[in-house]
Amino acid sequence: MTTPPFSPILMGGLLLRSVPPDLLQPIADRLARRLQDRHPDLFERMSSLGARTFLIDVTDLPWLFLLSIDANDSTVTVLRKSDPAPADATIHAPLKVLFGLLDGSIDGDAMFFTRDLSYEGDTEAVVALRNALDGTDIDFLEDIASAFGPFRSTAHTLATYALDGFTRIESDLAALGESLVQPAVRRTDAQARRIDELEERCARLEKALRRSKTIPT
Amino acid sequence: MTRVVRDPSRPVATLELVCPAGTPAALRTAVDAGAHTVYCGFRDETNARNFPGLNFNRQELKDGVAYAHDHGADVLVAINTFPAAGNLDPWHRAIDDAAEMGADAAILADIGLVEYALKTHKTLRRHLSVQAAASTPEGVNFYAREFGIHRVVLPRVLTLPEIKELNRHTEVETEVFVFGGLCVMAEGRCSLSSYVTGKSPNKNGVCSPASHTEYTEHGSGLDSKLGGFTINRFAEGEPAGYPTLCKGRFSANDKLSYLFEEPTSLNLLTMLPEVADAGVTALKIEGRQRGKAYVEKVVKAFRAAVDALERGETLDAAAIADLTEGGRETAGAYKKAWH
Repeated sequence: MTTPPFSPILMGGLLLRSVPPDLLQPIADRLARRLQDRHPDLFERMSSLGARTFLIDVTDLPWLFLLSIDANDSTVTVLRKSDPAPADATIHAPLKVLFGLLDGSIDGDAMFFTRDLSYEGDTEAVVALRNALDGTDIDFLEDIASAFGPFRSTAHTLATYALDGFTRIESDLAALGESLVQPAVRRTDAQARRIDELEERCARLEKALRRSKTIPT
Repeated sequence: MTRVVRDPSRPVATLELVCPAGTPAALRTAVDAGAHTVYCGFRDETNARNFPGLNFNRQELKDGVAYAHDHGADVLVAINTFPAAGNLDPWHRAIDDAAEMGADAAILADIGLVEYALKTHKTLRRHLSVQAAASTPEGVNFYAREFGIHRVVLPRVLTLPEIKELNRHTEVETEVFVFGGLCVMAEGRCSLSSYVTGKSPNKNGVCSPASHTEYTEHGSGLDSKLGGFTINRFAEGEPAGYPTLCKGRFSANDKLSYLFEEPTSLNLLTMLPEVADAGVTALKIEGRQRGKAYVEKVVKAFRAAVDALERGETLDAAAIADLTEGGRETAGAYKKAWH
């Protein structure tokens, strides 16, 4: 399973642990309706597979999101991490990666190849979801803000400020983290070089041994 | 042979950049990022990227062609799988619709379909798909003589000197892959996927279909399976790959290794001067199954490289290194280092 990166979201997620899923559910309901109304092409692309469920594990937040996709009735259910629901596929990724996938700024294959995203279950459903999301021009920030109804404008402004702040804090944390782990990285690099040398030496010795065995006596 | 362009006022690029689009959003992204030409396919088994959630319905293609043409780009429609006897309708309909919707060319593999396109849509350019595996001047010239093909997409098994030699003996435009996933097999003739899953890129438009693949976490590692067979096992932190049989890691003679091909992406960005010197007309980027972010980054990098080449400047490959499969890249057979 994907380990969440050290980020402001992870730290914020720890603080949000006590927020019950029920509090978020009305927003999730509105978001699901809005996606269905505004992006029918997303569901049309998924239609050949029939109804499918996806458990989205945002690794740096304390909740799971059960996404149930059907041509006519799609829902998002918020769950506690300790109370997962069965699904056709479970996707694990930090919030930043999931946001990037939704707005098309991040390549899903690249994230999977580098193991920043992982999943279990129905590969066909995951591939279809990823293709359908990527093929749809979604402004997820706007969709989430709209889920707040009359407070849409305020929510959008707050979310924009939060993202700007997140980027600044993330950069500061990265610099701090780099400074803290630098001595360990230097030691690891030195060990890696030593291992490479030993492997090369072993390979040379094995080759020499093979040659000595094949020399006719 | 002169390249037929839709808009005669648009200059023919020194090297034409042919870019992938799996969805209408990717098409718009590719055009905006600087693609001279975009290729795509219908949402069925008539094209070799028949993946779930991917490709275009008829209206989307019509809109996509309009968007591309409005921005000075061409659209090619890949109809490059092989129909089964007695079931030609989907392929004929695909050719008819591509022509009717104003596509600039059809990319075809089956010889019967090439003939159908010639007879029914004379003004539609015919490009011979890499799936046809035409790799000699004699083969290419046969298609040109008998079926009037305008361009051939060359298999990824030729060296640059061989491509240069081929171009010396044909008037047909040549298009070569310059970035993306690689096939080690003779394209259009590989049945590895079919052996394991019953489905192949040649007949069904999908190699190692997602419906038959599975990834399983185990402890700190990840297993990839195809049709129930374990194809690879990745250690923690090791870049993963898609479980195609040709890119599996197998044990032979007590040694675990990639027997056929490592999960590595083709990247000829820094070799574009030699590619141009070999006389090719167009550069093809693989990856209709990849997302908009991939399309934007790779197309921008290659368009900048093509433009830099025209200005006589040096090229920088660092911009797209993180988009390669397995995090590694190769020049493949173009710069053949084996015998």
